[in-house]
Amino acid sequence: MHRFANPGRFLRLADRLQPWLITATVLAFVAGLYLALFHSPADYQQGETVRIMYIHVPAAWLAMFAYCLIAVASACALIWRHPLADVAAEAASPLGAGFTLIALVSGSLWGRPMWGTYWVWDARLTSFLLLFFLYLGHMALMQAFEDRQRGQRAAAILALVGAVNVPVIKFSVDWWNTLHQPASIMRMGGPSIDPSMLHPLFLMAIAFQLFFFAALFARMKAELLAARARTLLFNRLRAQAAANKVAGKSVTPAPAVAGEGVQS
Amino acid sequence: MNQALQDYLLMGGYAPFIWPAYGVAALVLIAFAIDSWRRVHQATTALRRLEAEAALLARPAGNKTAGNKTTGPVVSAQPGRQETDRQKPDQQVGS
Repeated sequence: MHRFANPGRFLRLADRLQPWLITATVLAFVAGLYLALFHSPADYQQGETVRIMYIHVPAAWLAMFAYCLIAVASACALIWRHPLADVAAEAASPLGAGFTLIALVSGSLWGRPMWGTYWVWDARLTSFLLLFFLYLGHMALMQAFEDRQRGQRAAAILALVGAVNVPVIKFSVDWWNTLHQPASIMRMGGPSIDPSMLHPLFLMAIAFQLFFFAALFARMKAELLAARARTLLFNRLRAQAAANKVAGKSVTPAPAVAGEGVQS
Repeated sequence: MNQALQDYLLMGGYAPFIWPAYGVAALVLIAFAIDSWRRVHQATTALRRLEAEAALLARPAGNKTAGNKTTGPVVSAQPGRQETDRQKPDQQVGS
């Protein structure tokens, strides 16, 4: 882990991984969508609406996974000042917000025919909406200060404090009486879903996960290159300023020195 | 065939819920894919341009700075000193 905290090494590794990641993402989506939309059966209770599960559940998993990644990266950034940790947290935040949005919208569209309502303020839905706002707050804080590092630190603290919401989301269906069904995959005694629905679900989850890493690495790369460009520009401006100072010294400060001489 | 396709697209009457759900997911993911690619593309071109400019600046400026480091203080300081030398008597005359 520590070895990949070096930005140069990360860039080389990401460049080598990226084509494979993108290919695997496309393949997983093609296979997953085929199974989800054509091959898998309709549910005996929910009918065809069960197909919403194949995007709702992976999106929700990824929304939580991205937040956990941001929380861990934030801890690394605050404690060890890893050069890549802030970059990873900043890159993952909009992606997590996007997955949260997919989960909220698809869940709402699933709730209307099955529960009779698009939205209820129950524990699972409300805590998930809070996750969305945490993402928005994290993204806003990153940009809130002119000094990038201050924004990153503030966002990292928010991410760590907000991490308390992740177990609340996970166990909300057990702790409170909610309209949302309890866990049917990650539970004691194994999944309670038929393999004909489990396979497309896992394939779509893999596709979402691969997509997340492909997009994350691309955004991290873009940020690292942008940081390099900023350094180049800063160095050039500093060199120009120094050159101007040298050039200016020979002309302008002379009267000033003379002026002092006059005063004394 | 056409009837089968129509039945499929109707999704047992749940089409207004299923297709928008997939649509939103597709929209978000495609937007992220395009945005991520564009970020890499922009950052790469911007960095290449800066590096090319830096290389261009470094050649003439490199000679200058190299000159400054070795002979610069001697050569370039002389006109400066001449100026101040010229100005100082002026100021003294003025005062």
